[in-house]
Amino acid sequence: MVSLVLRRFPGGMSGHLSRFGPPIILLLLLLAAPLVLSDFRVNLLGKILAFAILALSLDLIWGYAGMLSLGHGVFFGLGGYAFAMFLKLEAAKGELPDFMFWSGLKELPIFWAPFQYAWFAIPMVVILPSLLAGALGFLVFRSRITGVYFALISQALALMVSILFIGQQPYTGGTNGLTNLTSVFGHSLYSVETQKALYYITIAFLVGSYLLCLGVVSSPFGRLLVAIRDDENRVRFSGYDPAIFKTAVYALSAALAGIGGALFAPQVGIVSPTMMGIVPSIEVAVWVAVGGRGTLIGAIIGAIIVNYAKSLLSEAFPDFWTYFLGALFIGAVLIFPRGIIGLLRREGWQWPQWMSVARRRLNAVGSATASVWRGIR
Amino acid sequence: MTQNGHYEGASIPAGKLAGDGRNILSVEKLTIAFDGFTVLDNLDFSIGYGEMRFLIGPNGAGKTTLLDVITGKSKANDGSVTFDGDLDLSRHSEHGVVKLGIGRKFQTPSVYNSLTIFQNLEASARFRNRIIGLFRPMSRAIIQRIQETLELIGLTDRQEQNAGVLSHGERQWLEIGMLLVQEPKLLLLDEPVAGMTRRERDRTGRLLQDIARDRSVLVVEHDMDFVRQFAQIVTVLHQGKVLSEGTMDIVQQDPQVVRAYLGRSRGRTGAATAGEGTPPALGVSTATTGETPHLTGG
Repeated sequence: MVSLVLRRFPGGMSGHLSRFGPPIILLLLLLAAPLVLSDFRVNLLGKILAFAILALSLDLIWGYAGMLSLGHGVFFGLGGYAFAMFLKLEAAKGELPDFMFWSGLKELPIFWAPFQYAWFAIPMVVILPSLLAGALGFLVFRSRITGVYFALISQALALMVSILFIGQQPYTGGTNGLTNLTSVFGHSLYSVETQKALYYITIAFLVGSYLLCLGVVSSPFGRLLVAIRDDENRVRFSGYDPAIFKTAVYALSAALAGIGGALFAPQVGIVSPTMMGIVPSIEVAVWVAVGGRGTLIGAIIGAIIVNYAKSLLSEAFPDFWTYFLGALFIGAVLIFPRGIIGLLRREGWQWPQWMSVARRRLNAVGSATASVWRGIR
Repeated sequence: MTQNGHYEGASIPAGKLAGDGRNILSVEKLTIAFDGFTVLDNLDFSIGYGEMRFLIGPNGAGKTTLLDVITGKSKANDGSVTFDGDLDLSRHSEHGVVKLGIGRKFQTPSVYNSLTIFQNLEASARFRNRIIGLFRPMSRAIIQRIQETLELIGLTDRQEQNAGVLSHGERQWLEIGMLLVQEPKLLLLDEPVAGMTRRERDRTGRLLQDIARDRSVLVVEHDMDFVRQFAQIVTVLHQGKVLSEGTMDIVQQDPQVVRAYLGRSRGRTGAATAGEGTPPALGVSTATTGETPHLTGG
């Protein structure tokens, strides 16, 4: 439908449309969504938009600086926990939170106390993730660990942090995480109005994060990130220290992921260590790949499409929806390796071109498979 | 290359000492070994201000390793490298060495394929900016310098194209341009004409002569025709030591040089070195290093 509308525009505008069209159309659709969707779907979309901020943060480092982090769920989770600690203390109304009581704690741990204040908890949403990313990044990038080794270390981080949070039951709520978050600044999380407000706040933060990332990647700093991706050694021998650039953008990305997490927590009413684990962290990479990495808007669109599809499929086919998801990912990588937005920017809004790209890729994949098969036999 | 008016007034001829006899780079008793194998062996070597020096030698002579030590990529076991008077280069990191005024071009052309030609030069030109400075627009002086460099390397008309579409030779020029835009005092070029056509080679030679009017240049090269055509002073490196130094004619006649090249060639190609006299011997080494032997030249 979108493509039909857009093709009415004169051809000369298509260049601008393929760049600025998707973000604006998407924003309008998201703003209008509560008019047509049920409250349940709006809440679902709100959660997905929090994921979209996470996807955006990964695209910033993966798509531009070439650093694939397979542990970005950690920063999302840290932001989520930081804000959920505030919400948990609000729900406890001055008493000891329920899980601490069950774990035998007598009083609030010292590091929990400041989280009862919003002026402390809210900055922590970005400070905690970026501190962790900054420290890890500094060590990793200074040792010139790149590529798949960085991906493995970031994955190990996801495992480590989630195990740590599961193990520290009295302080973190263990496997269950922080549950029964009831209100935010006095507004009940169970009310439709609050959830709608959170939905629009999430859109605002998504737009802000998008513009911030756009500003970064279109600055000379952003071009140096691309330069680092293309040839890190040339950058180093051009008088820059790549480690500083990578650490800085990794920390910025972690902060954005933290914001995503903090917006996620009140919309779900719970944060748990599962969202920091390995699987969710890898899923983020899938969203970005499907949407088209190195495009920013692609990360957002990928996150929305994959998560919405996941939700619809899991309702319709509870037993085997994960296969659809796997097929979507494999299909996207094999047939449209630049993702949805990468395809749009190259081929425009032209169905025939899309089909011919798909046919070419499928032929290539087919002949490669055939030659591998011959090799096996 | 025709419009670089500001180079015309320079009085230092390419390849000659600047006149005061001081050295921009002094390498003293430099020794470096990898796994017990000595690559540079008590090496003494120097380049004067405003000089264009060619460094040749058989494969494994230590040429690239010498560049690695100068640029901080490898640490020497012993000895010193002094730059521009009294700067001890071993105290500086790779990016620090660049800030002191040493630019290096790698053997394989290294440019940023996803950026435009202009952006490639920009990414290089802003190397003195702090991170915050990289969010501000460029100063006029830098834009001016980029435009001059584009003229010099002949890519002005194509500055908006992605560097990924450039031919091999053009990529080499772009990388040289990325160094020039930083206005280095010393330029290190590792095989700048490798893989170039004859026309590209000649153009590069003239470009190097232009460049050398304003700064010191050290060229590592395997292409003997090219060296013969454009070099005034040549240093021959062999087994980590300076074997011979002087004009190409003198170096070619040096029996030690002949032996070094012949010994290697014989080991590799057997009877191919049967020719008499010295120039053919150097010619053979060109062939053994995998370069296309050129039919004509020097």
